[in-house]
Parts: sequence; C-alpha cells; structure tokens
Amino acid sequence: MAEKVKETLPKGTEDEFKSLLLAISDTKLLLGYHFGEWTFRTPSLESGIATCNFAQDELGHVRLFHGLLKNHSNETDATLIHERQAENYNSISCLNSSISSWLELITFSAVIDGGVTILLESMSDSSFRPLRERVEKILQEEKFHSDYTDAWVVALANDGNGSSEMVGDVFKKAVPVFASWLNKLNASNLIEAGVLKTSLEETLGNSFTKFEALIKKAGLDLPDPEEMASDDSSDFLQFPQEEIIYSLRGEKNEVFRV
Amino acid sequence: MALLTKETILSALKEVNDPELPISLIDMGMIYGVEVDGGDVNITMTMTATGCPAIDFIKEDILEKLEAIDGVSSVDIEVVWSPAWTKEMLTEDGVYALKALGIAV
Repeated sequence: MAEKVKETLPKGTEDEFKSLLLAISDTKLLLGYHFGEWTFRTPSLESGIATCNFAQDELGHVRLFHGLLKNHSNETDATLIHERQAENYNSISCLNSSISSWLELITFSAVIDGGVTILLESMSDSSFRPLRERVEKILQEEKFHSDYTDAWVVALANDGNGSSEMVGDVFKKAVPVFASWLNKLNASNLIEAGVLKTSLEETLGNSFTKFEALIKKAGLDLPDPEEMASDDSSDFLQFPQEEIIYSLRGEKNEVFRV
Repeated sequence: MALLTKETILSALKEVNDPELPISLIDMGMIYGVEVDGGDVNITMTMTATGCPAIDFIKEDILEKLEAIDGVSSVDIEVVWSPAWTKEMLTEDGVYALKALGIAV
C-alpha cells in the first residue's frame, strides 16, 4: 500500500527536521554568498553570469527551507537570520571563510553542492509533502549547477601547469569536511517516518560514488573518496567569519535603502 | 453587479506581465489554478525560479489588477513549487513572444 503523504511533520521528528534543514540552509547560504562574491572575479563574462545565477538559486533554496522552518518549527526571520550568531551555524566548514581562487570555488562547489544535492535526493519522495514539493524544484535547479561545476572541474584538471594537483588538493580538503558534516547529522526518526528515504550512511556512500565518477572523468590521480574522507587534517574555521555573517544579514547594505 | 467568474479573473491575469519579460503570467504558464467563491479569489501559481527576486512585485501586480475588479472582495495567492515550472508550460502565445524576443525555447 502506498505510504500516506502528510501535510504536517510526523510526531517525534521536529528536532531532527530543524537541525537538518538548518544545516542544509546554512551551507546553501554560504554557497550563495561565495558565488555572489565571485560574480565579478570569474575567468569569463559567461562564468560571471553563471555564478550570479547560482547565487540567486542558492539563496532561493534557503528561502524555501526557511519558509518550512517558519511554518513547521516556530522559527522567525529574527531567529533564522537577524539574531543568529556565527557559533550557531552548521555550515560545511570549507565555506566558513573566503575562497581564494576560481579553482577552489569550483571544486568546493562540485563536492559540497554535489553532496548536499545527493542528500536532497533522499527527500524527493518524502512522506512530508511541503518538503518533497520544494525539493522537486530545488533538484531541477541543482541539475544545472552540477553540469556546470563538473564540466569546469574536468577543464581545470586538464589545464596543465600543475592544475590537476591543485584540483586534487581541493578535493582532499572538501571530501573529508563534507563527510564529517554529514556524519554529525542525525536523521533516524526522519527516516523511520519516511521524511527521508535514505539513511545518512547510504547518502554518504552515494555521494562518494558521485565524487568518484567526477574524479575519474577529470582524470585525477586520487585515493577513493572513502579513503580521502578518513584524513580530515584540514584547518577550516568551525564557524563562518563574522564578516560573512554580517553580509548575510543584509546590514552591510542598509545604507543603500531609500 | 455582474457575477464574478473565473474567466473574468483569467482575462485580467492575461494583462499582468512577468516583470522581467513583456509576457503575461498566463502565457508564462505560471498560473496553476484560479478559484472564485463569491467575491473571494484564490490563485495558485508558481515562479520560474526559487530565487526569483520579483516574487513580491508579481504578487503586488496581481493584487492591484484583481482588487480593481468590481465584485472582488479578497484575493489570496498561494505560491507552490510542484509541479516545477518548465518551458513546456508556456502557452503557444508565450513561445512566440519569447522567440520574438530572441530567447530560444
């Protein structure tokens, strides 16, 4: 018998739902910030248009998830954005500070945005209708992100002048922090209630499969993603830089308001 | 006072354009449903992108147009994301209009 689709969150899943959506939203907020910051520093005009569009998409996804949190978790704009402190964010750590090159932005995006999208795919058949409907639209948009960043990873890895090693180095930093972030999430009640269809362990495995395919396509000489994930010696900030939080709140732009 | 009908509302929405393109919301395929109950109007619609910066403008334009119609007492707009908008939702007029603007569809 088909599982009943619900309009409200199943009992007992509220805390996990809030933590999970905040972790995804925080990561997407940071991705949107970095795409926005890089809009005028891209290697071509077309890349600038793409990053600008991706920034808009990521912030749109945050808007949809924040809407869910406001409707189903008693959150408000104040608690989600204006009064939220950096130490309460749960973004993937490689996004918590400025990104130093186009190569780093693209490779981080391929891994982080790609991995988070695998997680979202486990919600596409969710028993919680408001979530599955939003995720349907988000996945439609993420397809373009994946096509674009994957193509750039392949191009950069084959650009010569040591670019292959540089792309590989960013992979080695990004895969462990993605795995670590995912491993710290808890979704057992959400899975039991059918809000998520795949365990987080399986999602991680699916992400590794995706990363491995990209590594192979790019011709990179790297250990398999599971092995990479076990070596988290990266030194990223635990929480987003205050300057970034300040920008995300929109306070920086207050002076432009009429 | 004339009876308010769904056709009246659809006809009015045909005159509300997407703020970024000179094409009506109807021809963009963004209007998913219209219900009329007495003077109460319920619109179900979508946006082409989650990050659409014009969501509030579009809603305001709809409200301004519909609230000016004789017999409309309230307008409720619900934005939904499923089914996700695709270019297949454009009407034939919408496709022609976009092509005329040089946009490949």
